[in-house]
Amino acid sequence: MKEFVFRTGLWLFLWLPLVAAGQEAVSVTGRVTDGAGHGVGFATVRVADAGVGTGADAEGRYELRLPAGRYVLEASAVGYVAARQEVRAEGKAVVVDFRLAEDTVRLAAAEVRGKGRGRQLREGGYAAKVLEVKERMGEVVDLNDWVDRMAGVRVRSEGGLGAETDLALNGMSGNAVRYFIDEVPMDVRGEGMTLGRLPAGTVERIEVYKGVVPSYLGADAMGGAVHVVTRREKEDYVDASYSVGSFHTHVADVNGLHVFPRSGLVVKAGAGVSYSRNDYVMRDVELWDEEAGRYAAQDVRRFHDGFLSFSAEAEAGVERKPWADALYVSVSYNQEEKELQSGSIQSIVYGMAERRGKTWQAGVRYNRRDFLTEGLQVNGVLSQTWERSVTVDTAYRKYRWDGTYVRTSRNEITGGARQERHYVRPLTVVRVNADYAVGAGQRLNVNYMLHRSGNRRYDERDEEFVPSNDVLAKHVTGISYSGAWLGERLAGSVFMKDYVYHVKVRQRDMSWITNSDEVPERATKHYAGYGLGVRYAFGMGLAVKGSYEHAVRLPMARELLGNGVTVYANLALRPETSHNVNGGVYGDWKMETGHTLAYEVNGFFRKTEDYIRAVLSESDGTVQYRNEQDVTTAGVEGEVGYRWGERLWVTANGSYERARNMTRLNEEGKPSVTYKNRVPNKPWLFGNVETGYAARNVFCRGDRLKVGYYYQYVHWFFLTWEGYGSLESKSRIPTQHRHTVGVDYSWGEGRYSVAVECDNLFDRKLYDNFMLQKPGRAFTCKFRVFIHK
Amino acid sequence: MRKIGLLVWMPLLCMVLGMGACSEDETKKDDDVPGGGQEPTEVVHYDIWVGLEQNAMGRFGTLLVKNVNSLEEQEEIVFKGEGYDATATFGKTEAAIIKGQYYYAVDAVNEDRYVKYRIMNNQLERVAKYPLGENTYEPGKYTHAWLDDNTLVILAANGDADEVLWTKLNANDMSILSEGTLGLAGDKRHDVTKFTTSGLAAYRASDNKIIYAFKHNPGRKQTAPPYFYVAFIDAETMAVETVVKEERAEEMAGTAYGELRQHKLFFDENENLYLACNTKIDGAEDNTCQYGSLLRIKKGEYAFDDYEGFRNHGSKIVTVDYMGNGKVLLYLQDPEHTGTSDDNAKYEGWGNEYNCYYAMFDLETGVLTEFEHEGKKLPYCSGTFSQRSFVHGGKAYIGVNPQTEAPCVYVYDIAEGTMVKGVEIEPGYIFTRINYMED
Repeated sequence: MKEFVFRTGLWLFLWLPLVAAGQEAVSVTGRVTDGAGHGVGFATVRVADAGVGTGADAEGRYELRLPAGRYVLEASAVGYVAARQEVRAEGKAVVVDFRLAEDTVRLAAAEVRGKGRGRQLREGGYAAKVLEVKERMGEVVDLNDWVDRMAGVRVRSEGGLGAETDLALNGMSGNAVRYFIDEVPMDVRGEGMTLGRLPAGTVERIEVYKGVVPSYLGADAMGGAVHVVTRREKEDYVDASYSVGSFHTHVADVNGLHVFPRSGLVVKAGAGVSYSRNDYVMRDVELWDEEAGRYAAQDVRRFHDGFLSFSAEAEAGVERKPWADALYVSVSYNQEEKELQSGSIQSIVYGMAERRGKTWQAGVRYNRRDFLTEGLQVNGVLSQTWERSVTVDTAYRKYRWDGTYVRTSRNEITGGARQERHYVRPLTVVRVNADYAVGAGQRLNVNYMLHRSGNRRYDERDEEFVPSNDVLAKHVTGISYSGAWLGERLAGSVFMKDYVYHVKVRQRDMSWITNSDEVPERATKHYAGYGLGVRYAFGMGLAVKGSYEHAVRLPMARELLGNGVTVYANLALRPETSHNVNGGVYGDWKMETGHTLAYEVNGFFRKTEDYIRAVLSESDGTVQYRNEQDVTTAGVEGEVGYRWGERLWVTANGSYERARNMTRLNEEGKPSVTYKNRVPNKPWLFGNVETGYAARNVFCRGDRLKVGYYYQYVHWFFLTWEGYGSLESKSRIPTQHRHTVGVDYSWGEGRYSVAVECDNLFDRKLYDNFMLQKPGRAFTCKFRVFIHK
Repeated sequence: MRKIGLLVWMPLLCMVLGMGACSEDETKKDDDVPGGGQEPTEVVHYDIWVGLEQNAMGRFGTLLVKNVNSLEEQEEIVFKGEGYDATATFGKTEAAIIKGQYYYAVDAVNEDRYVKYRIMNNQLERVAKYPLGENTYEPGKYTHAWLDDNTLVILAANGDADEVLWTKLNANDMSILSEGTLGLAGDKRHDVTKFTTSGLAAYRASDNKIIYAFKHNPGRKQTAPPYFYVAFIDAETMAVETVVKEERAEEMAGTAYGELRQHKLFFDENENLYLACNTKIDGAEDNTCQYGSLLRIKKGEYAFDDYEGFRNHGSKIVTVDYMGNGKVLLYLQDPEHTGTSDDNAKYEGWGNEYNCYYAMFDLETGVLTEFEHEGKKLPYCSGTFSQRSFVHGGKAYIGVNPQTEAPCVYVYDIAEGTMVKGVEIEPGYIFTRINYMED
């Protein structure tokens, strides 16, 4: 409180004489740059010790209006050492530039493009957004929810905790969007690992690339990528959180870091446990009413959807050694048990089937700057994952939503014999990246990634099942050149990618579904991709960016080989290729009073051959990935945000996309029935509004109280192709409104926090893309303790 | 600043309250609404079923159905934006028992109930639903017989396939009248230990007997025995009275799906029962490589007689429809005949090729005559799970699903012996079934 009074007093002290004298303010302008002369976007420039200041734009330019006088200005930004300059504000305008040095202590060596990644993303030619997770760690929502609130992003979740999720970005969806953790594909943690299951406490930020994906990420992503960057600080800390919520949900995780000062050894470790019964209410399911002698709609709780997971990980290594800027070894373990409650549609109810899985992973990563020659930085990652899972489906029963069942002559999921199907899926990932500074602000990057997964299957119960062992290997090599010109007003990059795709398929069962009789046992194919991205900044408030990529996406193991539960293999699945074009404008205006208005509008167009799409079986709720020969997607998304310092913010975004099947003839050469139809099971109009207000020093010094409200709108869409029969006879996923409110309070300079959230405030029916009901109104309370030096 | 705060918060507050208050009902499928709220306006109609997958067994197929008033008009049947998308209701196939106005089935999606539908004015109406009892059946995998207009009996092997279940249903409300087992497990009159999924049933009214064909189903890895059995069941008590073994054919033409998809047997005017059968070709590469025969059980008899029609023609029988006067409409699969293979013993050429054709068979003379239109044979078809033909009003309606031309219906005047081309279906769909529906 005293500090607040002091700062307010100082501000009044600065301004009152100005007002009294009728003087005009002096405009202090300038640019904040790094050691190489590149602008440091969104740096803060303020009057030292006065709390008065402004934020720089994406190019590092700032403007501050001050009463005439002498001041000490300080410029600061994450990852840089703050710099101060004394300035005499006289006349109409004064120019003060700052050059910030990298903060090598705080920057992780593995953060190869370490300086201001947020700035780089926004300024680069890629359509990308950054979500700073660390700033929101006290909140209740998980990483999936945060990403879901971004413009152009739609996360499909089948239900509660542990449910399968799927992400769509700017018209591309499913596995076209790839996930990475620290530039390594996320599936090294196991196929079941999703954003929602990652402990938020371990994450620093999430970068979301829409459409074109940088070649250094090294994979065959087509629709975009979600890159999770884990925490980089090298100071001792312990971060622990526990949340409890509706549907018997409990989530706890703890992680920490310790630096041994003498040896410089850095040790990170974390563990988490999640449990939920997911016993939320299913509305209006049809059940037999014995008294009435008829079927009637009833509300019942889910009864077989429990989820339990445990994960632990540890990483140890050293930094800034003569022989390595970073060398880390890591191990992780993940165990999950999941009861299976339904197929992909809710008319298919399971009551006994379950899936269990264990995943071990070990890896090593190495980073070296000025490797062999100055300016050459090398990164290497080697990771081996051992994933084992078993799907137990031994009950010859057909369940109803009230938990009762009828006896049948087949298992619950596939309708076959009793199964205890084991899947052993070892995964090897090798990534080598070389980044060379060829000139001021210009870099040449070469990246190679190997992604090899096996698929050994055997069954303990089904005697007729023939064990098999398949292999799916991808080699992706990329080379890119990026740079900035015209005083960084123009920036861009060009890249090429080379894909080698090798499959060895031994499974031959269920050939009428998996097409195993149509494919050779071994096949190797080669593809090429290329693209470019540019950005031009006209000045404060307006910049335009555009990108193009001819991309190739190779089928993932899950798509080609199935998931062992509800996804059937399709061994004839072909890689999809596409031409992607993105364009956008963005800008922001900052006022010295702390008000900021930002906007961004992006458009995209994609023409995809052999578009890979999840096709639902309406008869048994299973899914299979299939190709659509020719799909074009066009869309636009926009976001506008207002912010008043850290006190008040309002953000609204909306997305519209039109994905149409442009295949004129089907595989038999006959006219395609769905020609020019909108692709089903995909939301095509959706938007989000988020607002919040935060106040500091409410109950005690250093505390912060934040209230937030979030609204999501999803327009109705068809379950199946619109060309199939009359529109009146078709199933639609209804329009959905989701309201969420939350309050979180932190104190002790962020050491402690407690948050309460109510999701789906009005208890509306929400659905996933296949009309599976999602949880109704849910309350969650989260406690967090963050102890650091 | 308070004004700024108000300016921001007030619209948001209004928006929140507005959204919370809005009560937009979720759009419902209105297949529970009788006929889309309308009474049927047509006295007679035909249901044309099409799919979008060549493989009728596919889990990921799509089923569309459309009511049409005439099959003889030279018009195109359009499905884009018209008809009813029945995939979510019928599941994998249009398999159902059809009688009068209605479709009767074990619910293909919920699987726990008996259902009765009708499709009128291109809307589906669920007329009755009733939960399964002690006996449970897999959708699409049972056989049936009508004991009278309101009594339906269904039969199928149980879960372990070591016994045969039966259930009598009241066809008005689908309630269970009675249920039980045939007691065939361990019956010394046969050597079956694992029964075929559905078998094939027919009801002979004159002596109130259900004639039920079954055989041993050893599973995927073993060879089935080259014979099958027929049980004669008292329809009142459901007691098995007689079991006879038949070795002239390997199996009846329907072992897993009864007659839910296709017609496999018929009675002639004298109540003689003809059963379509198939036998694996000697030395064939696969069990699907078969040739057909028609076996007969004469009225009042409790065994097949020595009639063995059609056997010498080589083709595999897919469907049978009795045309009257000793003439039978056959849908036959024959790769050699249709040119998709040079040897029916080779697996290549069978499957989903365009290897089927329609022909008329004379039960008395044994002459097989392939149907023609304007001097040309009807186009060869794909679809070995299709039932695109029926006989009604002195005419045989024959639907074809050709490779290069649009699917269409030909109408054969049985008395005149003339063939005309009727409705055509817009290209792009797989023509799977056509039903004559009474009103």
